[in-house]
Amino acid sequence: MKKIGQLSKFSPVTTAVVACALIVGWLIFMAPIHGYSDNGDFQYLMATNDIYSLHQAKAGYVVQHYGLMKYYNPIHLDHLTAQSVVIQIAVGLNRLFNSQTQFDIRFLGMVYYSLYLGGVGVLVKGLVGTGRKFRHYLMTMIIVLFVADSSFTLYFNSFYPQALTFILLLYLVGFALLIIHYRAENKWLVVGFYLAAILLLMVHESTSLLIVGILIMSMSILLLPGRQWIHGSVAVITVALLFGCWVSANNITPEVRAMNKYQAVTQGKLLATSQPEEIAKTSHIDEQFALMKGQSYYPTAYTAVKPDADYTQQHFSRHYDLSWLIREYTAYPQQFNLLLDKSAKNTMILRPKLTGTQEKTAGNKPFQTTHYFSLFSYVAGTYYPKTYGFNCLLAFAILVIYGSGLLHGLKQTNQTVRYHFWLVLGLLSVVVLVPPAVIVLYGTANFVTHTLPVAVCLSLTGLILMSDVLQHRLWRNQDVA
Amino acid sequence: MWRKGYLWGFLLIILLLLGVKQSTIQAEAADQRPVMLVYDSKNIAEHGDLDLDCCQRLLTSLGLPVKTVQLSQYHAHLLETSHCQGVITMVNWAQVNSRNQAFERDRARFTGVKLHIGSGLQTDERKSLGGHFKTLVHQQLKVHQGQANQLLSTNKTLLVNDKRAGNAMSVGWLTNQNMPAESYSYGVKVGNAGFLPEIGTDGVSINLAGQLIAKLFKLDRQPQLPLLTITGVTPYTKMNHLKHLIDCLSSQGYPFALSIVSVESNTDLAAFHRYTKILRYAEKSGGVIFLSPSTETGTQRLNEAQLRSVFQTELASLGADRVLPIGVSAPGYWNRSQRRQAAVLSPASHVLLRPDTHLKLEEKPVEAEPVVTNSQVFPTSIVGIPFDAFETATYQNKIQFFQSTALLVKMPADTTEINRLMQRLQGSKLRWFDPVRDQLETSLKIGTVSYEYQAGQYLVNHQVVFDLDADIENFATDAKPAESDSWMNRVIQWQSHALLWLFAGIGLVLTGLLVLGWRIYRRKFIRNSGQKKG
Repeated sequence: MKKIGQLSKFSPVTTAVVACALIVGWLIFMAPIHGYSDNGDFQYLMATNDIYSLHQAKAGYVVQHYGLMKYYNPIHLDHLTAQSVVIQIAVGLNRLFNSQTQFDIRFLGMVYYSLYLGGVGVLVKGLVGTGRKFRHYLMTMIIVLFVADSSFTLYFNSFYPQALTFILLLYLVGFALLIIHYRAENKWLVVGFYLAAILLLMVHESTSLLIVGILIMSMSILLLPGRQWIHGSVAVITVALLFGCWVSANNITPEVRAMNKYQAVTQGKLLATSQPEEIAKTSHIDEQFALMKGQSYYPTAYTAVKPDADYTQQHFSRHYDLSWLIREYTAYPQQFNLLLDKSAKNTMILRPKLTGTQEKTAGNKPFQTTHYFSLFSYVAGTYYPKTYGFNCLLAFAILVIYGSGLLHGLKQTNQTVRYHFWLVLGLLSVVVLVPPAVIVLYGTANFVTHTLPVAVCLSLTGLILMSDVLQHRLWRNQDVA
Repeated sequence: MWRKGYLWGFLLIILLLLGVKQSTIQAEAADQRPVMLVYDSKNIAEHGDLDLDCCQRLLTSLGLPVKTVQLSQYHAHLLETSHCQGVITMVNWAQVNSRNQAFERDRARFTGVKLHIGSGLQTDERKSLGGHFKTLVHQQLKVHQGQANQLLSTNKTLLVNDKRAGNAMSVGWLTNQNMPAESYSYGVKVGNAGFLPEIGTDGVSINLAGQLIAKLFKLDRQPQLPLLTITGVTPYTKMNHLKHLIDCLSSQGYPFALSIVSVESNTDLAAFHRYTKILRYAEKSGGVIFLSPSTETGTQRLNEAQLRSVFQTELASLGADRVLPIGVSAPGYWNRSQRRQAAVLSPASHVLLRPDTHLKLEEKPVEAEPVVTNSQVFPTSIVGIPFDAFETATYQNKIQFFQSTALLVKMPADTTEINRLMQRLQGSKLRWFDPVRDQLETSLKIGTVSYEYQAGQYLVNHQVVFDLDADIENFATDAKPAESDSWMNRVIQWQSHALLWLFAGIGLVLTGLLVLGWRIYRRKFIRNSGQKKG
């Protein structure tokens, strides 16, 4: 076996990148293209990026061609996020190579694609190293199974923020692993890590919640020995990250703010109880508003009273705030647990709801989804336990494993595991802390967007653990890459 | 000779009989032929879309089906005497002066009823109307119907009939505020041709339009009483205010109708039963209920089957709580769309058509209206006119309604508004339609369920409901059926919990081992250092 591995001409990194390039490239570039269709979130994002729908698209189909605005756009980049930057690059390339008036979504796919392949390379190098033994190739295969899963890669041909979140998380963890492995000072790796961290915070207002994990991961880098030049800047870097988080969390339109506030109650608090009328006891909300239980801010097609109507604003939304919601949840922890379990149930469901993945062709129904290369998401979505308590215990168990490594490493010359502890702690803090924050801030609405980082962090933790086990780092201190 | 005369006489009688028979058959068939409404522009900036909608609802409430087409979309031979019983030319945007040769040719050939609304009269129309027309610019005009009169709220440029022809009939008249001596005809009828200066937003002018149309189409209509209708009642309305309003109305002896919306889901909640309890209270206090479809939102629209199922669900959940709507109330555009008509309006015998909401120039409609829209008629269609439209009218009790009319009042927001409404009602001295006294009979049939109303009595599936409140406790505390878990779900649920416990166990053991290891390690470490020190 070893011989076969050593005979191979390609390193694990090259193998992984080539495999992903083929698997993903075929899916997103070959016509008819695949991606995720609009579930209503695209319009504002497209408008601020000078893109518009060419014709009334039928819901449930992926659209390849969009129009590009030619004249003055009053809301041009009104809502600047990291995602807008990527879209602007794609728009620029499209103007250069394709057309001034028509936008081909594949240009966006291509930008994501190249970023993604870089991310895959960094991650595989960080996790597998340069070894060419069988176990390295085995690890590579497992990683490819995860990163090339179509549930993630279909996002590239869409305007959902998840595409960039996913890619940047690959970079973030990959750079962190590389910095830990090559303890020889390499400034560019550190710059890459912090760049990925800042961009990640800026993707979407919900990714600002990843700040906890990023700060802890940043510890693992700052604590490395022989980085005296960096020790002084701990405070500076932390403050910069916190500032980035604050900017991103507040970088939302009043409409989105109103939506989040509304759904945090209707799809959160009200959904968790069988007697939603009780909200009238602790607030000035009329108990009739219990009937808004489960309603979304943008109801599909039909509603008794519009959530954005003045009446609702005056009699409902104006009468509560975040502190009331937190007090309510602390008073009824049972309801909060119910919602946490609901979030756990949805964590591993990686595809957005109410979307199709196919272009409109003859004999093709809307909302059809492809099963292409989706083993990982299928297994995770079906068999991964669906309770929040399990996630916490799993996090605890993994931390115990790495904690022993931390203590073990106190004396040893190889301290890789010791730094992995901080990395894994950062990832697991996201897994444990983000769901409660999401429930309080957004309710159970749009879970897929809000909890995708949780799923990716959990999977990446699993990969780190697996790579440490396969490379015998955890218990036998040998075979250091 | 005498025989020949006899024969001729006989033939003549037969011909006459045949002719009469022909004409009666035609008259019967004519009822089904639509009226073609051709408009130049919606002129959204000046609310022309609302005038158009008002005209359509007015025609519907007079039992005339309407086929609406924009002038620029009109193609030759759409208007034929055999297909249409009348044509209405509506000019909303006179400044543009849109023309369509094909339409003008077809209209000139057309022999049915011709009505022109607004300015921009063509030569042939002027000729058939006769008399003399005059354009009034920026004048304060008062419109009269009998004793009742009202100041026109808009003082836009109006074309009015100054001197009418000898054979012309005038429906209502206009006087000038500044020169009371001068008066003009409002509606004009010369044989089959008619003219109206505008549809307008004022109650009296809308009524005159209804009166003129009824006359033109030779509809034998007696003046009717209007139905007082409270609109905008939702499950989120303050229930104590609604109850207070019902109390006020019934104690003053005003019969009334409520146009309500309901919810499709969450009907098991106490809040829903509280809502239905108040609605039952309204039913018992002499009120009748019209169910209105909810607001359409977002970028998707339900198709006919989905719409029907949502509406059916709402009706069923209301019916289970003994809230039995007697008809359907909807904005005007619901009667212009095929699938909305079929899914929601058609099941009802009584359809109340409320005004559309004003379109906005900058807002793109979610779905484009078809080029030609068909407004259907129902056994009884009621046109909804805001009660506020009559606020400035004097002698309101003298106003005559020739079409079935509901006067709409928005649900008051607080007690002061309720009091103000009661004062307005008392001040108007209007006589209202009373469903019990005036022997109202309605039916609403959807799916296998039918709700009927017969002068105060409610029937469900032809069975009289004697007590609306009977067995109420049974459905107020409806036990929720336990959610049936699939076999797979249960296994996965069990697996999650089992793994939870397993990991909890492993975690504990590992912690124990860790503590143990740490202790051993510490002992070793301390002894080593101790040895070194020593």
